[in-house]
Formats: sequence, structure tokens, C-alpha cells
Amino acid sequence: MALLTIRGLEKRYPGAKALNGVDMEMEAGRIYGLLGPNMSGKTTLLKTIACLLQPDAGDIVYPREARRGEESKKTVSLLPDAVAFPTWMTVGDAFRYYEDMYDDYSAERADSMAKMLEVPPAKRINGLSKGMQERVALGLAFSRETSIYLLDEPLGGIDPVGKMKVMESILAMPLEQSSILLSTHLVKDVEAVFDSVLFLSAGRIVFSGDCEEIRESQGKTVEQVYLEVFANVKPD
Amino acid sequence: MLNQIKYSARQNLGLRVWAFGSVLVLNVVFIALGALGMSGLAGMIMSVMGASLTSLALTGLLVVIVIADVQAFRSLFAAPGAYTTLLVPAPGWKILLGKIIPMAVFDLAALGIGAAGVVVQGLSVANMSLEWGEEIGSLEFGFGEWMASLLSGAGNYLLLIISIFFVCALVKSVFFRARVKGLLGVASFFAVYYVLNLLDMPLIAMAPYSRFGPFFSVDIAIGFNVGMVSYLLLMLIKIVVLFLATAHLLDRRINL
Repeated sequence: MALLTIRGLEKRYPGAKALNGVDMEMEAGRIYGLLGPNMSGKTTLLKTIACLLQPDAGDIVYPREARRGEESKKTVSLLPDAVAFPTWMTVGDAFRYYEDMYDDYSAERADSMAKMLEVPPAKRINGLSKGMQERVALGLAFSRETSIYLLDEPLGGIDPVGKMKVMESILAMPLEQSSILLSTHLVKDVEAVFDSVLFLSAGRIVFSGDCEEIRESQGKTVEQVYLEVFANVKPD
Repeated sequence: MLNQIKYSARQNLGLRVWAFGSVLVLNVVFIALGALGMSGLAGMIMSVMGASLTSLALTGLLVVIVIADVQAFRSLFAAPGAYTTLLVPAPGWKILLGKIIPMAVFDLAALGIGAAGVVVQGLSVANMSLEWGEEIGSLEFGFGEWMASLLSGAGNYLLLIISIFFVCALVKSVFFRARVKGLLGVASFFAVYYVLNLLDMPLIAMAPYSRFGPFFSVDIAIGFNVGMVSYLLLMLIKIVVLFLATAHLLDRRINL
């Protein structure tokens, strides 16, 4: 049974349609890559699932059939596209703040993530590089024991060593009862961690598939398929 | 909740402590000057300066609090700061409570101490006026004196209106993240306010005797009250409107 089901999701902004009938399903235990060029609607889709945006049409069925809003937020952990913490906080402050805010915060998991991502707990956030700030944000998102992790461009601004640590932390997540949806346009860097991919273009899923199948049946990498798909798909 | 309160205090109190400290220092300085027993024209100038500066500082405090509140409000709703509130699976009032407790406690304490200072200084000014009144003897107040008092009072209300414009400009600059523009706004507000207060002095002096009578105290009282009433109103607005409305808006955003 699907952990998350989305049917006919639409979201309009003044003068633009960001989501144009998105249909998708997520199952437990899998890491999904949400891939697409800039302006394809990736961030809008993640924010709509996380209840930061109100959809204009369509349905989202959350884990445990949680009602959209306060209930569904208990089932979703979002890594936003920008650092959300006051920059005067230390990394340790940010984790303690999270502990205060979320009932499903796991100190044990937060510790292991902080160690894995090598974030310095005593340092102020404004003293960290952009890449290190993103690692802190990822550690915070993963410190919750919830059902769906939405990661919006977790690799932007991170150096190769940092990318490796981020990938390791993603792969280390226990996903028996949960799954990850990771949006990026840096396909080559992260395709190794994906179990499935969803290609989003002009607010619509234009391709979806299992990564192993793509590699075995088509003999191509996800990046090659991505380039083929986006070379042919034009926005409406 | 304890961590939220602690971090909210660290985030929101710095500007307030600075502004309230200025008000307190001004109050202490001018009460001390009054206690030194300065009399005659010098005493009057010091009193008017004290009244103007205290009134100015109170209004300044009001402006600072508005800025701090707007910043806090922005951080609740505008990304990226809003992610720390809008993503939390809890009712709006619960999220808001941790954020607002330090501000409410500080504002109420500041209001109490500020009000006490103003009362003491008001009594000092009134006492000085009475002393001068006794020196001059019995005086009659005619149309000129009434008009001078009215104009002087109107001058103070004009200052309030100007200050409201500046507050609006500041709020706008805060919304557009132009902190430098905001600081310039504060500086120009202080400058204009003080110049207008100085202009107010000759207006009082122009009316013979009025400065020695009860109207002088009335005029000063108006100056004080404008600041205090605005401040008090802001407290009430914050407690009633800001808290309830923000909690409601947060609930709406949380349950999108």
C-alpha cells in the first residue's frame, strides 16, 4: 500500500500554473528522486505536500490517512530550500529548538546524524559556510522520526566531500516505515542513491520509473534518460 | 517550550532593552536635574527639554517596539524564518506562546517603570510651575494664553501624527528588508521630533505668563500622555489583536 498518494494536484500562481495535474505514489522503504529543470515545479510540489501551499485542485492522501494540516505535518519532515534558522543560533541551539517543536524528535538519531554530517554543535550558524548550513538543515530534517522526508535541493552549494557525507546520511536513514523524496537538478551527483525517479516538467510528471529497471532494461544511467526526456519535452 | 522562550528572548529583546535603557537614562537625568532645584528660565528650559526628551524617548520606544514586533511577525509568516513555525504540527496559539512570553513580560515591566518615571517627572514639573506661580503672584489668563496652550498642545499632537508617518515608513522599510533605510528613518524621526519640540518652546514663551500657570503643566502632560497612551495602546493591541489574530492566521496557514 502506498505511503503517500497524489492525484490531479494543481497549483496556480498569478500568471503561471506551477503544478498541472501531478499524479504520483510513494511507497515505504524507498528513496525517490524528483528531477526536473528549474521552474518545473519541484519546490512547489514539496511545499504543497508539506502544507506550506494550498493546492487549487487534486488530492493528497497522507500516511495513516492523516487529515491535511496539523495532522499531516506530523507525517512529513521538510528540508526547505533556504536555511530557516535565525543565524545567531549555534548548531546545538537549532537542534534543541527542534526538540522543543517536534514530538517525534529523536535525540539519538539527531546525534548520529550530526556526527555523520560532521556539523560543529558549538558554532554559530552565521559562521558556517553555505554547504555546512545545508548539512545542519539536513541533520535537523532527519532528526525527526516520521513517515516522509522531503528534501529540497539538499546538495546545492555543497562541496564533493560534503556531498559524499550527505549521500551517506541519506543511505543511513532507516526507511522501513518511511520514504524520502529528494528534489534536485544535479542528477549525476545523486542518482546512485535513488530507488525510483520522477521527472517533473511544467508542473507535470512526464516520466517515472525504477532506477534498477532503467539501468538493466535500457542500459542507461538515470542522467542519460533525463537528458533524453528533457530534450523532447516542451512546456505547454 | 522553555527553549522556545529562551531563543525568543534572545531574538527579540536586544532592541527593546536598548530603547528602554535610553528612556530610563533620560528619566533619571532629568529627575536628577529637577532635584538639583534649578529655577527660573534655566529650570524651565530644562523642564521642557526633559519633557520633550522623555516624550521623544517614549515615542522612540514605541517605534522600536513596532519594528521589533513587525520583525517578529515577519519571521512567523515569511520564508525562510517562517519554516520554523509553519511546519510545526501544533496549534497556532501554542507556537505563538513560546515566542510572545518574553516580549510581553518585558513590555509590561517597561510600561510600569516608564509610567512611574513619567509620574515622578510630571510631579516635579508641576511643582516647579507652582513655585513660579507663587513668585509671580496671581495672574489672569486671557484669550492669548488659552490659544498658546491650545497651539502648544496641537503641536504635540502634530508630533504624534508625524511620528505615525515615520512608523509607517519604518514598517515599510522593514518589510522591504532595507535596514539602512530603516535606520535612516529612525535617525530622521528623532531629528524631526526634536526640532519640532524645540519649536514648541518659543510657542509657549510667546504667550506671556502661560508658562507659569497650570497650562504649562497641561501642555507637558499632553506631551507625556501622547507617548504613554500610544505605548499603552500598543500593549493592548499586541495582547488582544496581535496574539489572537496571529494565532488564528497561523492556524489557517498550518491547516492549509
